[in-house]
Amino acid sequence: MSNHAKRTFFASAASAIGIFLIAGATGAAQSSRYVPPRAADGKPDLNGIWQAMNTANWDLEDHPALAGLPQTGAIGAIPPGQGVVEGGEIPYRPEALAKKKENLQRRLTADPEVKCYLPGVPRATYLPYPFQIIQGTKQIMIVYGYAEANRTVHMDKPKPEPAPIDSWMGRSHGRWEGDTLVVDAAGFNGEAWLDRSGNYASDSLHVVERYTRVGPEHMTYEATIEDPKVFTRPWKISMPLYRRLEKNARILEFRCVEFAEELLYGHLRRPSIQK
Amino acid sequence: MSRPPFKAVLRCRNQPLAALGVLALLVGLTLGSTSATEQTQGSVSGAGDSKVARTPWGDPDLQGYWTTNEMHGVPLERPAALAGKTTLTQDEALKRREATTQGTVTAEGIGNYDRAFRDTALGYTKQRVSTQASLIVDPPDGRLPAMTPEAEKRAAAARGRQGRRPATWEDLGMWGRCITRGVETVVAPSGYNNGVQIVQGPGYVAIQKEMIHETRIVPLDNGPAPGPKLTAHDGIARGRWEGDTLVVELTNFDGKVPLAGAGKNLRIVERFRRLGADELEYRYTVEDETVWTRPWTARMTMSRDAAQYELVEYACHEANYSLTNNLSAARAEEKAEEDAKKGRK
Repeated sequence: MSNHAKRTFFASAASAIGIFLIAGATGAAQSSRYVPPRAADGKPDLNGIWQAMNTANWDLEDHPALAGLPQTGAIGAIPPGQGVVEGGEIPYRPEALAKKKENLQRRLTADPEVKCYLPGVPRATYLPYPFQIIQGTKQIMIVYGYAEANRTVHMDKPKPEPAPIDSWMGRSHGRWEGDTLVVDAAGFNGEAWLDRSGNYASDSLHVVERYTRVGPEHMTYEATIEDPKVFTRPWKISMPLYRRLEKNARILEFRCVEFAEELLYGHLRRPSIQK
Repeated sequence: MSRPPFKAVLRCRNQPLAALGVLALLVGLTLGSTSATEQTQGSVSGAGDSKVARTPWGDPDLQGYWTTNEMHGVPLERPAALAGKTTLTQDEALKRREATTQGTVTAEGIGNYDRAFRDTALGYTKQRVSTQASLIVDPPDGRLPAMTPEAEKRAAAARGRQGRRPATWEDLGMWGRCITRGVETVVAPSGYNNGVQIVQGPGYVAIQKEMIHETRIVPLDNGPAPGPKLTAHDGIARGRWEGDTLVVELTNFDGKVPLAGAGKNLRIVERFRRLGADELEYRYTVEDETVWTRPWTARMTMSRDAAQYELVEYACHEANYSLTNNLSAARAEEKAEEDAKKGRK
């Protein structure tokens, strides 16, 4: 065997072993990974009614139990919870942290949820209401139980397009990375909050969400949050989403405008009219 | 026409509710009229067309962005002047729509939105125009059936409440309050934002009305209706395919959003069907024996223009300045009247 032939032989053998090792490792990884059922187009089937089951909507970070409004007693108290932020803390810029604290002080009147305003992304996902994924052929629609909120995830655009106008829910473009649905969301108006504790983002918000089925009734939801006006670096939240298993599960109307009108317009009622 | 306008009409953003009366009149006219039997109006009709596009899982494919702009100006009931006529000529239909598009713009000024607000004037949607004499196609005279005596009484009372100075937000209507555009899955078009988005998944159809971003999710298992204690403004939907037609039954209404005077006992059966590559037919049959002596059916067609039309978030409640402005104006007027009275004493 010439030197050249030897080199080629050993290189080939090494490659073959390498490929074998990689294949073996991948095989091992795959055997422990859940393989989700497929939609008609061969992509993972995410259709269904899902819900987060945590206290992220109260506070994305660790938080103890707290009293609510005195008149609502234990019903209105804030349940304790462990944070969903990777690394524990949201990396605010100093001036943004001050604004977050101010938001917290004013939360009973300033939180958009109090006013039944659209929830934005990612908050829509972990509000305490179910949401439904309808996986269409060119679009995936996500319909949230809260406030008639919904999003269209455009699956038929090769590249994210700029939003035609800034909005509460932004514009979402989706793609598949393996078995994960990756949604790129931008074009937000900067009005939405991230939770009831005053965590917020601006109109520079860019969210990349990852929806991965990890079992017949579970998904992992991850969202990377980037907003240079408010945070010093991108940060990530993650949580499981659970399928609503009730046989008659459905998204029911929660048109909360009516529940916020007294708060918003009560001072404009004709004084002689009884509440 | 003696019937009241059935819906308050207003744009939720920045519009003076003072224009409500004018708009309500406009919509009253739009909604308040009829036509007769089958009107296919230049459509390719025919049930169970095997060539209809299908989803990968085999259901008829209704997906896309549709608009009802072609129905702009078609009244709910057929006007007396069109008695005996189910369709207009193309020329008459164009004139009718132009009159509606022109709205209340006069030489003296703008009574409400001018052409710049009106989708039919903007030219970015298909300019097909419906020749239907009215939305109602049954009864054959194109008019709402006779009301029961009790319903007549309620309608008269409702007429008495029209146009009063608002004491609270509740006097400003479900549309004005950005709560719902109406109980039908697709409502008669107004001047703008008449888009309808349909997305389908296996077992479900989602239908979004552009205005107020309301989305109806229709499960296709045709399961039983929930019990009577579970009610909703827009009812609860159950669906099924009959051939290539999507049939949606709406029940469990709470009665807070009346449809032409009917509320709690409403039952609506809707039918969606493709008429061609870019046309969809929507029919709805309304029953409420406590209001009408017989059911009635209305029909609309919708067009698709995927290249140009897309739904953009219609965040209505979030910017409903008109509601605040109207209530504060009403309180200011009352204070001025009060002060004037005191001054006279």
